[in-house]
Amino acid sequence: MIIAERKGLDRIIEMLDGRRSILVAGCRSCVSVCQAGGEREVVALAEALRLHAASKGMDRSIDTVTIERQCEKEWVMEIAPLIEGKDAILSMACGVGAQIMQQAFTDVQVFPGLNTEGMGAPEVQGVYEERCGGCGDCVLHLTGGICPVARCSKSLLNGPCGGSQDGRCEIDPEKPCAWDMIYRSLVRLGRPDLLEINIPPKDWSHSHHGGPRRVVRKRAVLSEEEVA
Amino acid sequence: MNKVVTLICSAALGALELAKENDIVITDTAVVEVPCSGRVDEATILRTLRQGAQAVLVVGCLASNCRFSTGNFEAHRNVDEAKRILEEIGLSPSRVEMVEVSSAQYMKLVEAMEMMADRAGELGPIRLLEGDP
Repeated sequence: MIIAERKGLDRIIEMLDGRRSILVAGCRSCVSVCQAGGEREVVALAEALRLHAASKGMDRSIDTVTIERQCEKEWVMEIAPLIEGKDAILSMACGVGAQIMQQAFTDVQVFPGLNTEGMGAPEVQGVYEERCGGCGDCVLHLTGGICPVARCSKSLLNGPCGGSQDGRCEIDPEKPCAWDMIYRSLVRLGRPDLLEINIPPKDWSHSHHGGPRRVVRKRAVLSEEEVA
Repeated sequence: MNKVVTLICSAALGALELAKENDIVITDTAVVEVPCSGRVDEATILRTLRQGAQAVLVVGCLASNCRFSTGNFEAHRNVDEAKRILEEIGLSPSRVEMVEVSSAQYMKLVEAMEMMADRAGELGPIRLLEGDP
């Protein structure tokens, strides 16, 4: 899932300066699971903004809504009646959701309430770690199910580097060395021989280096007659 | 409005009853019974302040005495989150505190409530808009 984190309230307050009628919009998908932009966080943030406005004597109206998925315009369009009269939308979704919100409601400025950190998973409750680099050319079958792009600090495809010590990363000893984990995982799987495979340099054009990516699922694309 | 709102777990309410039986009068404090202190989330605390309270005291059971197992642990995390938010918006985080009491520890509860009333007096009201709900 996408991991995100709420921006500092000082930054949010600064962004919303001068706005009098604000809709705080949450998302029930990834950012709800990582407890950054779900219903609970939306209600708490709205209360914080109301309390801040009250403490400063500002006349400001703040409403809230949390929709199923802000990254799909069909869900986003359902809140169109709530946008009426608003001069700002504070999106508590990932960067994708905030963009779809702005695309759907072109007349009202959308402000991002979250910073999107990456793709990851909860390690323990409340702790989320990056797990996928979104490189567009997955090699997990060669690396014991551990992503070297996201989990090695240097994104080495053939590791470890010379700085790995006692299974810890030299960039940050708090973090485990991804290639140490890869080795141990391959041993557990009975496939340490996979370490002999020299993974060639990636074709990064499948990643963001090739510009914005577009995936077309022909089976799902409607024909012109169906759209009409 | 009372200066302090005390949100107290129903299982700790016995301490308040004991205080009353001992003729202890606590002023400037409104008491709201909740089923469990873990039910008090950060939004509830912030809303209570916005609606006029100058300070909020959350009262839970002693650690490991929660009938729902971990409600008071949850309450501590929520109070800490409310404190962080208050700090971020420029208000004193000391407007919110949590205390754990058993139903027999009425003096501990009374002291905490009096301490919060004093603190609310020192911090003063949060400026509110006229007619703010």
